Amino acid sequence: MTEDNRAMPWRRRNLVLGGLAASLAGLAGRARAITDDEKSLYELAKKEREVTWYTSQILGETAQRVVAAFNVVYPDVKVNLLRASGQVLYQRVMQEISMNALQADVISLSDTGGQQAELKEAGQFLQYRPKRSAEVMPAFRDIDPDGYYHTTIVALTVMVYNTKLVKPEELPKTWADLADPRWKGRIAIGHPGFSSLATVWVTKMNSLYGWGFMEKLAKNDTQVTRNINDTTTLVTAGERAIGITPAPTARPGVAKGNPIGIIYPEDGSILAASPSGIAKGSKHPNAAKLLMEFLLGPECAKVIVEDYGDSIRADVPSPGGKSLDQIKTVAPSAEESKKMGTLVEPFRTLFGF
Amino acid sequence: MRIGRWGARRPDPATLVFLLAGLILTFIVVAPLLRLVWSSFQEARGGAFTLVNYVVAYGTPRHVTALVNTLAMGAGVVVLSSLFAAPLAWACSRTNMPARGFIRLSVVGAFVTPPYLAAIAWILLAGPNAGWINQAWFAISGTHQSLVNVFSYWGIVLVMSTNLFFYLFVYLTSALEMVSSESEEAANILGASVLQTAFRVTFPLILPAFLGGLVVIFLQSIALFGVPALLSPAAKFPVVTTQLLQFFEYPLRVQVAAAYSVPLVAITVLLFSLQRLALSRKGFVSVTGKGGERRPIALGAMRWPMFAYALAICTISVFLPWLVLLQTAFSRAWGAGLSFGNLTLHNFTMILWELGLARDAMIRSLQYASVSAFCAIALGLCIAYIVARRLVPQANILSVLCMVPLVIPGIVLAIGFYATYAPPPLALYGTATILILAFVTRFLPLAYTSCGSAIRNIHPEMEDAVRILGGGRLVALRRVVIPLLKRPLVGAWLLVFVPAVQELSTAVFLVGPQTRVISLILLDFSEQGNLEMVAAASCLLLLIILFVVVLGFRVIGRDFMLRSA
Repeated sequence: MTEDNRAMPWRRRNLVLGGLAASLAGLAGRARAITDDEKSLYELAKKEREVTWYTSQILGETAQRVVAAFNVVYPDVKVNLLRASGQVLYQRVMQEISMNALQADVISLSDTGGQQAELKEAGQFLQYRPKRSAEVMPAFRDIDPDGYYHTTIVALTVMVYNTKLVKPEELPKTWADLADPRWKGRIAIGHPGFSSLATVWVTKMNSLYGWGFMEKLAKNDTQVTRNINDTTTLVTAGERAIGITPAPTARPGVAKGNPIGIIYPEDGSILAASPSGIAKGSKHPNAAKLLMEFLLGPECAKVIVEDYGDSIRADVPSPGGKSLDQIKTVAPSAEESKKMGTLVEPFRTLFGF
Repeated sequence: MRIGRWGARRPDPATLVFLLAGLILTFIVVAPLLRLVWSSFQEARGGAFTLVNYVVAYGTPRHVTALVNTLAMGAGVVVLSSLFAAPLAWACSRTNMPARGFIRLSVVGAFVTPPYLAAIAWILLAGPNAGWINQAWFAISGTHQSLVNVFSYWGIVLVMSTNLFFYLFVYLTSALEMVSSESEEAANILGASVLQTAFRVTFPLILPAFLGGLVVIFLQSIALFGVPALLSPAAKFPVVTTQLLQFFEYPLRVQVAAAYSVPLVAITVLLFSLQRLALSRKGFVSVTGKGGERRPIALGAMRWPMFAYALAICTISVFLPWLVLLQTAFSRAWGAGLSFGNLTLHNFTMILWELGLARDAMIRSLQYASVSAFCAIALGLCIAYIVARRLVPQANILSVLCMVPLVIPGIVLAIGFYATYAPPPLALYGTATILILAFVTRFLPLAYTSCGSAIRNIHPEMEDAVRILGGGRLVALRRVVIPLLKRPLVGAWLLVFVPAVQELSTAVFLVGPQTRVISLILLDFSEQGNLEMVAAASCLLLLIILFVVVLGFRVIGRDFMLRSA
């Protein structure tokens, strides 16, 4: 399956996106009906007046728009947003906890569960089962059986290719195809030592095809980038023909008319799900619960999709019009998530960085 | 006699000012630094004393290789930057080379290009497969063997040098402009050629500025993060900053990162001792109370070759990268190539009108950076003066303290700041104050070295004259030193202001919801793969900064940096 901008000129694509947005707006209009639970939560939350949200799951711009969307529905609860990148935010949370001065009410870390499990074990999360968690796709429910944290964001890792350098008939269909010697010197991948999405990808490749796959990539003179988003830059520039990239990084380039296309591999786009939880010592517990409900609801999903992210809800399709349950995805198992870091050293030895 | 009584009764008020400066230094450098060193000996959990962090940091051969690589890279940058900066500074300030004003302005352009952007531009220019230079080479030579490869040791060194040589250029220029022509003319009269005079007379006089500039460039290059982040993985050339970043990935090892950074502090101390040793028994006073004239040296037939060299340097460091960035900024899709349909102003209108976030952040960055630059210069000037005039014993310690922040990687510095000042009683987290304090600390070395090299060039005899006539040290500073230093001080202010506007690594950790600065917005854009917006925002920043440079020159009423005569 490919998303190729050559098939669809920029202007027309914009029209299509516009139409999509319009239908989404209608959908959100229907879903906006606040549930009775949310109504009573909102009444309680109004008295608390504000809620502090720490997130590394989405970029600053998107986070601001999520907050704006929240305030359309709940104008009387002010959201104090702190957005930082993954490890910086995690470090910040740990610092604040060690000083007994955690400011956050809701914590959304961009990790596939390891950090959240750690916080849960340390007794830092409040147990809460949002009503809306029953509305998300089944695959994303109950990531924590005890209900301390819940999947709020999923990141999809796919292939991006340069349309000037690769003919449609030559396109790789699966991850396994990339080991073919004809891709020698033409692939770019992210480094698992710096990028958690790259770690998930390497882990999944290893469990699907064994370490031999990575060895073949190394032999194929594959270029490693520190930040997994940089692969899209290299592919757009034509420096490399194919890159492993987060879908939200490549999608805007496709929409704008850069010479790139997206491949959703047949053996499964890699899915990394990141959960959020409410801080145990939250001073605004009701506002925090309200925000948790909102993060799982359709209005939030709509904002995420508009910024080229993927939706956890079947009723809000991802960019490109399909929802995640309509394309093949694979995600690391709980077992794999735990051992995630162990491949970094072998990778560094293999790729010499 | 009245004067003597006055002096004997009251302590020199300057002493109080200097004490205050020392106190501030303790607050913004010593405390976060001690916190850093302390945590390098702490266990991650519990905080008990341990040496394990050092074992982890240096027990792996790869980590040691990264340190060696870093030193090699720093050395390369120092050599290449000298080749760039020294001839240009000399030609621009002392000779009759054509278009000196234009060359100066171009060099400023090199400085205001963020290293991270320069690296992206150079990937597009010198990528081994699709770089513009290589494509031209393929077309000319008919081969498929690439001519240049940015993903290499020299690639990294070149991209860093294109940004960092500016520091050396500024130090050298301001020193050269203070050297009078008399000694050079004396050499000429005695039969020395232009080059001989430059090497035997002029160069030795500006040695302090030269060494100061080299040290700054070296230290900056080893702590720089943006360029290696993009280039060194593919070059298979790990350096300290990329290694440090790994300690910030999961599992987080802040204490190990601290331990890994401590040797950098030691390197700083070492370099400064060496610099002092090299300068210890020589005098470099070139500005005295006795006047002195400065006339440009006639290059004769060498005028045009010199200009060609300067133009080549500016092409490498400014014109080529900005050609790429401009193309990107005005494109709908930067990878779609040059065509009329691909041209747009949309990226600019987005930033100026539609994205309030980006515009506000830009204004905020400019505000914080100007305040930080003023504070850093004030502090740097006080301390440079104490050190140069040896007003307190062991003034040298102050000098080292001023320089140490240069090598503490921004993110590590930010953590020290956060741990020291975020919790009560100060509770500075999320305020503009903590950002400005961190910026002042981070750029104090730049302020200090430029103030220092300027002060070393001024003979104390003029201040002595003030004091003999009854003025205190503050009067001497206000009425003699500062007026003499006006131009170097404006230069120093810009030197701090420009990187402070773009500062990312400390800001990442210290910003709160209300204090987001432009560098973070750029980071977001680039993580979205939105290079068009990154380039457009950078173009706007460049315009603003150039405007500030021109404004600085108006305010000072002199021909600073833009001299065209």
